Amino acid sequence: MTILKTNMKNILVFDDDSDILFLYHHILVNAQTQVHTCRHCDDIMEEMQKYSPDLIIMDNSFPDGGGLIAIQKIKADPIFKNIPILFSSANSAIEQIAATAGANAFLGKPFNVNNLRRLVYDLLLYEI
Amino acid sequence: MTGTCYSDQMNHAPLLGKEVITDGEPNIPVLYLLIQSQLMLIAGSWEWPVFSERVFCSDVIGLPPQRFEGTTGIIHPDDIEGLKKALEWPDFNGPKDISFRMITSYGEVRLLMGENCCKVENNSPYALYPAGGAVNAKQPENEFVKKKEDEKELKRGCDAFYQLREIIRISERLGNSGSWYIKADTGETWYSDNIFRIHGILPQSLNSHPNTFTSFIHGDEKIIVSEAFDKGYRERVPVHLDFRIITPDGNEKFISQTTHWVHSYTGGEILIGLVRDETAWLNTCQKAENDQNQLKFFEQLLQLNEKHGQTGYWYMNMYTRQTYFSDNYYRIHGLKPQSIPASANTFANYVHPDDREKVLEADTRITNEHVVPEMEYRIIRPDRKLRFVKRTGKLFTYGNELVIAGVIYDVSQQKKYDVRLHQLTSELQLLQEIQNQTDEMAGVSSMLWDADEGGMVRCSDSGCKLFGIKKNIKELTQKELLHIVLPEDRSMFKDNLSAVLEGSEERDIVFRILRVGEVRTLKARFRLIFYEKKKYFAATFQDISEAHVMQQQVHEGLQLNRLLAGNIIDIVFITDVYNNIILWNRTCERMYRLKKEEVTGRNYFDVFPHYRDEETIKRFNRVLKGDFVYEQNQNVFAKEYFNVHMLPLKSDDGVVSGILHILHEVTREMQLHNALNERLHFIERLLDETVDRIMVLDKNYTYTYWNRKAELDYYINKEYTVGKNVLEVFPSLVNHLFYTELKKTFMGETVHLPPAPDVVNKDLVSEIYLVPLLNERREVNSVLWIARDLTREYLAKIEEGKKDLQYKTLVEATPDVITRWNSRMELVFANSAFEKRTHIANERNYGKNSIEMNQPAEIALPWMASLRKVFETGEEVTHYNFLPSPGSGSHFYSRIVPEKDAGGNVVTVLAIARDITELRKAENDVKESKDLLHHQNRIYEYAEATARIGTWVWYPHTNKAHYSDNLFRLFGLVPQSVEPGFDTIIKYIHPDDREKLFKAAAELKEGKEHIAVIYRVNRMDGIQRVFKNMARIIAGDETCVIGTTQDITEIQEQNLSRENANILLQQKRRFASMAAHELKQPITSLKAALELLTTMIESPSGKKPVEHLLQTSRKQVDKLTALIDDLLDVSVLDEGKMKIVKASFNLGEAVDEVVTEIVSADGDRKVTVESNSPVTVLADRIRIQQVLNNFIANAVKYSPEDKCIHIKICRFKNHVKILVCDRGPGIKKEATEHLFEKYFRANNTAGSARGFGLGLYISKEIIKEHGGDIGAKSREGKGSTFWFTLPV
Repeated sequence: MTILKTNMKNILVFDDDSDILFLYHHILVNAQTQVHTCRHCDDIMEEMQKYSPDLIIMDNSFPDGGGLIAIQKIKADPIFKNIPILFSSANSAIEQIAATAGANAFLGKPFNVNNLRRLVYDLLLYEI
Repeated sequence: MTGTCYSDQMNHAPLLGKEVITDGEPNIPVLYLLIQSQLMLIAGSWEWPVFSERVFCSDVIGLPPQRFEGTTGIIHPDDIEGLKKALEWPDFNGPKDISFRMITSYGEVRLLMGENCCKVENNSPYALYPAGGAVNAKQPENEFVKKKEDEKELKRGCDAFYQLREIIRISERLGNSGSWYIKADTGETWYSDNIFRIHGILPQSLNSHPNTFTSFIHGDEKIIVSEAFDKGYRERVPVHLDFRIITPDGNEKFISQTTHWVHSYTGGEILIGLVRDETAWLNTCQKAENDQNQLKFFEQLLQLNEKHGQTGYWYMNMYTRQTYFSDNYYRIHGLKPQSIPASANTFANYVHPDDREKVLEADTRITNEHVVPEMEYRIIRPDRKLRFVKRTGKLFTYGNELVIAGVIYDVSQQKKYDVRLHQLTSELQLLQEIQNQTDEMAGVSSMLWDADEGGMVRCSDSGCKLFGIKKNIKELTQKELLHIVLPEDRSMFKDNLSAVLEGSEERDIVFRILRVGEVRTLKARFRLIFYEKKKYFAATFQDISEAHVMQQQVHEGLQLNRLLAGNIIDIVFITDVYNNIILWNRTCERMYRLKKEEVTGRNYFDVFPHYRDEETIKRFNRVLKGDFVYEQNQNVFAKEYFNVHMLPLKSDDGVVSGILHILHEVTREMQLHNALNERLHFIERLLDETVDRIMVLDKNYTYTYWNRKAELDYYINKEYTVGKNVLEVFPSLVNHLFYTELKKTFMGETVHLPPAPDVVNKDLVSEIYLVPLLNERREVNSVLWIARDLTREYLAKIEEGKKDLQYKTLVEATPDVITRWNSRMELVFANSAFEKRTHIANERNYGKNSIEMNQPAEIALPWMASLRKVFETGEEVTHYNFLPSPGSGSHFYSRIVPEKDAGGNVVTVLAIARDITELRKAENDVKESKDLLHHQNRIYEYAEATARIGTWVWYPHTNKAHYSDNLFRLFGLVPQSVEPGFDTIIKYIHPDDREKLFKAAAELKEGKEHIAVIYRVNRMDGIQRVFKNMARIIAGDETCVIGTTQDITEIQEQNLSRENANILLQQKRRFASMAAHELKQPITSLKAALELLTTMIESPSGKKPVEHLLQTSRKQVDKLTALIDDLLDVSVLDEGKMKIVKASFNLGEAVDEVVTEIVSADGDRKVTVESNSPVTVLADRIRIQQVLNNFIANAVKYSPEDKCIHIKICRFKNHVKILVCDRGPGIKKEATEHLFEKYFRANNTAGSARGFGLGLYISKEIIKEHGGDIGAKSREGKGSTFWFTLPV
């Protein structure tokens, strides 16, 4: 892999709700992690190039199934396909959608803050 | 017999009657000899011992000629032969000496001897009197006798003359000739009868003069003939003329006339003429000549024909173009001889289209150049057979005509052989070519040698290549062949070879050869071939060296794959291109319960015949073409579900060589999926809200659903029924008709049970629908049982029925005579009292006036006058003496009441007659009764009108009907204005529904007990309504159908809305999932924020985040509140309970308030307000602000942050218009139409759209409630404008 490894972990969060993005940032940011947020996933590959994240959190609530397509796009990319993706959604069929998209893990909304933290750290560890 | 019978009668016998017999001089004895019916007169110096000069002798007893006088007898039988010889009969001429014996009629034998006997000719005019002279000569000279003789002579002369005339007449007729004479001195003219006949007129029908027949002469020749005739007459010379005449019937005749001059006894000149009709003769001549020509010509043709054997011939006259084709010509063309008229192009149509041009060209040459080219062409016979023909011809000069005669012959057979030979040759070449090609391609070669002679071995081309022999050495000895074989295999090869040679059928061997230093493995088959009594040894070889190696490799590969496949938990098997199973893993064995050994090598469809359906085979074929097949959730085994993958296995060169089947078990996933679906069941709760009783039965007849309405109506709680069998809950149902219908539903039928007392609760009336619900396999999974409560309607109907009955009873029971009369003074209705008075059945009186009812004129006439008066004036009339009543005077007091239609015209009159004494006795009763009648009538009519029901009676056998007044009104007609009946009303019924009614009527006729039909009606006044007919058969003396017609337009509309409920249900389902998501979103934020706040309280780290989190929380709560408000509004709207509290307020201020609120929440946003004048409106301020808020919030939501929003308030005369404009991306045109619909969200924008899609819907409802208009217009890329108006 060509991604430059530093001590800092980059997390890239996609959600259309700015309040939720604020909360993600607030919850996940600390000395070892940087959090980048994005309100749409239209040019996801550019964002990926820009931040080369170690973890992606993707929400489902983009129009026309945007979130699902975005995940599939990443998973089809030879460079980014191994980056773990956490899929979050308020949809009750989340498990199925996550499997279809090819996400590594999923998180149902509304979520527990500690659950989110645990999942994110697990996924980052898994990557290492 | 020696005697001769001789009588007068026999004298006139016809045998010799016409014979004219004569002799030269009277005294010469003449022998009349009749031998073999031939008469010969022989004269000579006869010596005979008889006295007569004439002797008649015959060979058998014969008759002598007329007037024969002499001895008669027969020739002595012994002398007949001798006499015949002597006379050289019948050629006797003489002179000769003859002697013979005769037997006279007296029985004496006399010897007759004659010398120098000669034959005497018998043609002479005197022959009529042959014996006369002879007899006379013998007569003695006597005066008396002489005188007598003179008289006799005269008489004879006269006789002769007439006889001559007669003979001439006959001969003229026979000879078609005539004669005439003109006496030159007297001009006396005579024409024979036949001349008249020749000229086609009756004999002597014209006066005879020299010019009698001049007018008959042919016009062209008249002058010449007349001149010639005149000239001949003047110069006294004979004339011969040939000319033509025209008979009155138009026939042309050729006449030949000869004249010559004679002199009469008195010396006068007489011109006599002989006329002969030559027509027949000329015609005959002509015909004979033609025949001769034809004959000669046919001879030539036949000669030609003979030359060519089985051919057809033809000829063509070059001048007349007359064409003839022989019978065989037609036969060659497959036609019946002479079946079509012959002409130059008779057979042109039968010529093969490709040859037609050639033939036509030849035909043209025949006619233009008189050349007949020899040619071959094809014809197509009417029986579609193709034949090859050859045509030749030759030019003849025949008489002075030019004729072409030709021959056509069929050369198909010859041609066929040629073609066949050609085909065979090319086939042989092709086969040889194919043989070589296949040899080469298959690596197969062959060799052949004569086994008996053990000669040289002949190898095929590829054989040479295989054995490494030079190609041109095509033959090698057996020894040389053996030498090629590898020494190790040589003895085996030899053994097999000799085995075959000794008679073994065939042998397959595998052996190796040494070829240019390398060892090749060959497969060979030896066998003996017998051909034309010779024995050949034939061997085929195939190089299998490569195959051998490959097989080895494949085997190894397979082993590996098997090892792998065996350990996969999915079902994995491989089929080859022939669908034979070649790999079968351990999971397969486990799942299909078939051992690997049982299936490998067998066809997939043989192993699983039940999968052999078209779809599966198609799927296999698709994969074999290179496609991938992936199918989810296939139910392969009873309870397990699989995702089926079918992958084509490709060899290195890309050819599909098999299919890899992978069946991945997803049963657990399916179960999970089903579990998720169950969450949607809360929607079922919505069903509880419906007014119908809804129940669901599963396929075991167990209740799975029981809605609230059912609970209420049946007084049975859900808990008591759900999970129990239908018969457990309602044991009595088992005998009920309903149960059978229910069973039907489980067979897949949808059942509708018409309104009837409910099966469960007898107090209720309901209409039941049983709808089968199908699962994905199209099997009936459960049954939806919908019972629609119709109790109220039903009770109303019963009530009406009662009223109707009351009214009828009243009319029939009253002693008053009640009658109704139409404008023609005819009775249209009468009650039973009338019948009692008239003693005649009312039906027989209907349609008659009083006179026709045979009532006395003194009663009938005044009655009709009174009726007329009512019709004319339209006012009520009192009348007495309505019906004759025996015994007593006037008894009746009648009131004649006009019945008017809507236009005030009198349509019928009602006459109520009462026995006057009865009336007087109880006048009060009458009044009461009248009031009651009126009252009841009104009630009845009111009931009918209210329920929009009309009643009717129909007698199917007579097709008569009676309709209630209201029925007419339902159709928009004046009551009883038309004859009731199907034909009358059918034109008001919607054309598409007429058939339905006819069918129902037919069903009733066939004996169906009751029917219910719903149909559309176009009323007379153009209003469209929906009617429902319910009818029932009442059996009786005359079977009748009673029925009601109900206007169910409104009910029907309700039904339609129920159908819409389904759509609504789906909408709600979608809404539910959306709502879950929308509500969860703010809750997510809220929850996270609160959790964080909690942790911060434990370890405070700063003021800023806390503030922010609190702000976030507040915002989320606001969002939730707004969402819930929307939901509440919608539910209020759905129930139609939105309350508008109107008050006057300044619109501008209200707008400003909203803007301020929004700007304070979103500080960056710029909103401008423009107003032309201050406006005060009377409206619900909060609601209007809600609308504005929705508009502005939408503008904010859908447009980028840097664009400003503009609000305009425009005052018009009657209304005020408020516009909210943004410069956002705009809305797609197709979405614009749906903007104000419930749950609609335009999702095309890049920004995120939030909410239920209810805001605009609510806005629309609010504005509607205010009596204003609402709308939007938008251009993509330019922005949108939302507006509404309010009345001022």
